[in-house]
Amino acid sequence: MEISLLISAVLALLDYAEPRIREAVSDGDVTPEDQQKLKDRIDSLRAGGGFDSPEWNKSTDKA
Amino acid sequence: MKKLISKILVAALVCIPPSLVVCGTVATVCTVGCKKLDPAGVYQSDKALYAADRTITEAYDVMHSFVRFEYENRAAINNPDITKAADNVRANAQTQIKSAIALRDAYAATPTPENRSKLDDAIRVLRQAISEAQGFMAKGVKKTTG
Repeated sequence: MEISLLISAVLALLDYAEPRIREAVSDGDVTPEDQQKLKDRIDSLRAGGGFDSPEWNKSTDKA
Repeated sequence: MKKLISKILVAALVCIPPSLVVCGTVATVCTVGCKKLDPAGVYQSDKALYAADRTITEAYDVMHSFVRFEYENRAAINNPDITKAADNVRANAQTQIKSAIALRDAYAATPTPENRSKLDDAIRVLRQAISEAQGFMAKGVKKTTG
């Protein structure tokens, strides 16, 4: 149980860290494509995207 | 021997999550601080706007990681403080993100020092939320191993 919890935490944090590390160690400037990807994510968040999955429901909400 | 291997494994796994958080944050700081923006991109070399957008998406990613971690492991964590903290993130994350984006848009449209200052304030709020989510996530991991 403990190990599975830790692995779950590691996987959750890998989702966050991996693309950032990859971008930081890549050579050259931030490309127009990468800039566009970031802008697209902001546009998606502006439209309210990303908050509709069950983990965003409060613990007291009914399933 | 089996106990020792188990302890080493747990110790290694306990060290990995904070290390990943630090690596991700350092990578973001390095990318924003050290790299140049290709002027042909949508940010047109505006590093302040680019840095703000990086922080906004980072805040979403960290808060999402935290609420997902708490949701998927609620029974194992079994800590009302952590669930309460996750519910607090659930209640406020979207408003905080939207507020930061609105101020980001205002700065993008009119890049005055006043708008920059308001954007910086919103980014500070998000940085605080990132820090809290990371802290509670580490607490959730420690609770089951300590």
